[in-house]
Amino acid sequence: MLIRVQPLYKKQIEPLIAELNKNSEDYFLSDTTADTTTSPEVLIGDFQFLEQSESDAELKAVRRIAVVNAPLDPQTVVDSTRKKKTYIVSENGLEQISGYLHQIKTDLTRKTQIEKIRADIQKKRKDLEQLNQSLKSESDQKIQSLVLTHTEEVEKNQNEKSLLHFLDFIQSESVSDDFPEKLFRFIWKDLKKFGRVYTLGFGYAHTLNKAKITYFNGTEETSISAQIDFNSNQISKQLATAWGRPVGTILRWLLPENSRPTYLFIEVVDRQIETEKIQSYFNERLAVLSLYLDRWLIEKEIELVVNRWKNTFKSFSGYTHVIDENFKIYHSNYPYPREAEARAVCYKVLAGRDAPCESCPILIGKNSNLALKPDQIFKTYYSQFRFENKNYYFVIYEDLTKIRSLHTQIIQTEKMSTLGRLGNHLAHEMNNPLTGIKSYIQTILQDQAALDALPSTAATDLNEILKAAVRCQKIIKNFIEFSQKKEPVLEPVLFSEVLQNTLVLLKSALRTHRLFIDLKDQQVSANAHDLQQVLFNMIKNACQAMTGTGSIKIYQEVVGRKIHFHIEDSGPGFDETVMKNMFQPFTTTKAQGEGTGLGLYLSKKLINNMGADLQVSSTNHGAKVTLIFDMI
Amino acid sequence: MKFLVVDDELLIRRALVRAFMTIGHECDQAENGKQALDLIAKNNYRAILLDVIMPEKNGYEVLLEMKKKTPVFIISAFTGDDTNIGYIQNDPRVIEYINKPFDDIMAIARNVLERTA
Repeated sequence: MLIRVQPLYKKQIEPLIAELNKNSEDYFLSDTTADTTTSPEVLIGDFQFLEQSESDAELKAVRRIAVVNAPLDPQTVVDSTRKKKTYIVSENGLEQISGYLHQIKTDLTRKTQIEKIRADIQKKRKDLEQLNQSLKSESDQKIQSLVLTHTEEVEKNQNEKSLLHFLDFIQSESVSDDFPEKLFRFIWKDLKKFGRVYTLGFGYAHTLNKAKITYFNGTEETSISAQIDFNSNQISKQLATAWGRPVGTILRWLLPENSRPTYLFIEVVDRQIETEKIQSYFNERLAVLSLYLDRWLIEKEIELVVNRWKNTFKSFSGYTHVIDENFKIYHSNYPYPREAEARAVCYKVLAGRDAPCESCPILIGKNSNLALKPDQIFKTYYSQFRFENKNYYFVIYEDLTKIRSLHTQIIQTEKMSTLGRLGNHLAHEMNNPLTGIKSYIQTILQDQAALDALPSTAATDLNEILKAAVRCQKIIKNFIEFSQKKEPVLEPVLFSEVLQNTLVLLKSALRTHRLFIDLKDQQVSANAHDLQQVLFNMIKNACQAMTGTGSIKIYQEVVGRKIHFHIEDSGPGFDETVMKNMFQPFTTTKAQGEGTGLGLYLSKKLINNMGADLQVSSTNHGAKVTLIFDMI
Repeated sequence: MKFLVVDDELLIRRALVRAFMTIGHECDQAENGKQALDLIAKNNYRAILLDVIMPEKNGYEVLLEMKKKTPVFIISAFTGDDTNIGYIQNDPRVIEYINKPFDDIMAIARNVLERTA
């Protein structure tokens, strides 16, 4: 313990300290002049001395022993004692100092001890905290590793599940027509877990420098042919050209053991995408995928070739077949009986013969005109090919009769239209003199003086001539109305009136038949001119179809909100094959050159244009045409 | 005053003349546009019955070249595709269109008489 003493009291205190140091050398007197840096722990002196030392900042924690030598203001002493740790001794009681010093020493020692203990506790607490910390981090690690193991396990399970799911899917769907699209959708859904995929597809070299690629963008599947080399590192660029848009990173896999090098690819943009997982996803599935996709593609290709071949066959309008040297049919565009043992032969099926046709192109070695039936002449084209050491022939038969008849029909239509124009002109020309005749007679009949000058039968005769002229004009008027092509304007017309106008034109056709009409005054929304043309066609057809004296019945029937007008003849009616093609143009039952085969076709068109319908049916004795109008 | 009947069909012409005669009126006749114009230049008529389609100037040409304000009745089988119809429609001298073929010639004659009274 370092003690600084006011020099004034030094002599008196030194023996006290020496006395104190008798047992242990614990007390040192500091030499203020020699050592000012060392801070004393105890200061001894009068108040003045203590106050002066007080200015020294280092003396703050020091204990003092103040020597009082004169009567002092007790308050000052009390203040000093309270403010600082100050012991007070009188000048003549200096021996008290050693007691105080002892007390200070004990106090300081205790203080040091407490501090030491505090530091110890502090240290221990720190150690404990450290231990705690390390324990905690260790347990955290343990927990983390436990969790990690668990996640891995779950992931592994999921992977296995997903793989099984994939296998199930591919086995059940690989036969469906849209397998690639389904496959895309399936993989797309799986890949979502690993990040955003922009395109998924596959492709293979198609021609020398082009590849066929089929790809999926999340919503639809597209196939294109484009200049793409899957081996090139320019593939993104090539795809960008093909797609006409920027393309991200392309990841691709060569499908193993595919019949032609086929690549599976995906387009990704996101750098965060879990490429490794995608790699492993595909690695696990590529082999299976390749197998099924390859099979599907090959099947499609075969189907395409077969269909193309079949369609080529079907597209020929005449007979077409492939036969062998013995005329056995291998493939044809017409039906032939298939027997288990022997194949059908063409001359039997097509010509109904028991031996090959005389001018068969295969027998005579060149294309020929061949009569399959007496009235059916075909031009043949043939070619020969070898397959598995056998000769086969591909033969096309072109129906010359049909071509000729079509040709005639076209001429006939043209002729009819010319005749129509001519007739129209003729009708107008004839109107003039007829008007003259009619009008002239009308004036004579009005002129009594003129009549009186004529023989007595003249008036009756003139009236007959007038009637004939009027009838002629009516025929002409009807003809003009019938042949003029007017814009089809729909208006309410009386069906019975249109029918009567039509019948005037059909007088000669109806001469040999009986006509029964049972109609009420029924208005329909129609074009009178077109309706007349249809009625003309239908009644004329009926007249021509009936042999001997037939009968035609025209009557009406209300069916719901519709009105049906029936034109029924007494037979013989239509057979089934005619019924099938009834409304096709150029279908006719009339003898060659008589009908155009356009009647029903045009009639149905005209009727449909009026918002009505025309139906044909067979009754048990004849044919029935029904015109169906809305009720108005 | 007389009427003028213009038509290239002899019988129609005669019939019209007869019809007017029956009700007490005389007519001149022309069988084409040229003859008609000559007659119109020389005479004044109560009305002209004018056919449209005729040789040697047709009815339209007659209307175009005729300066007089004589009333005109057009006789024609109107087919609806006459391109000159517009001209006739705008001519104030044209009183009526008589459609050919006639139904009753006497009725026509009486009507013409009435309209030009």
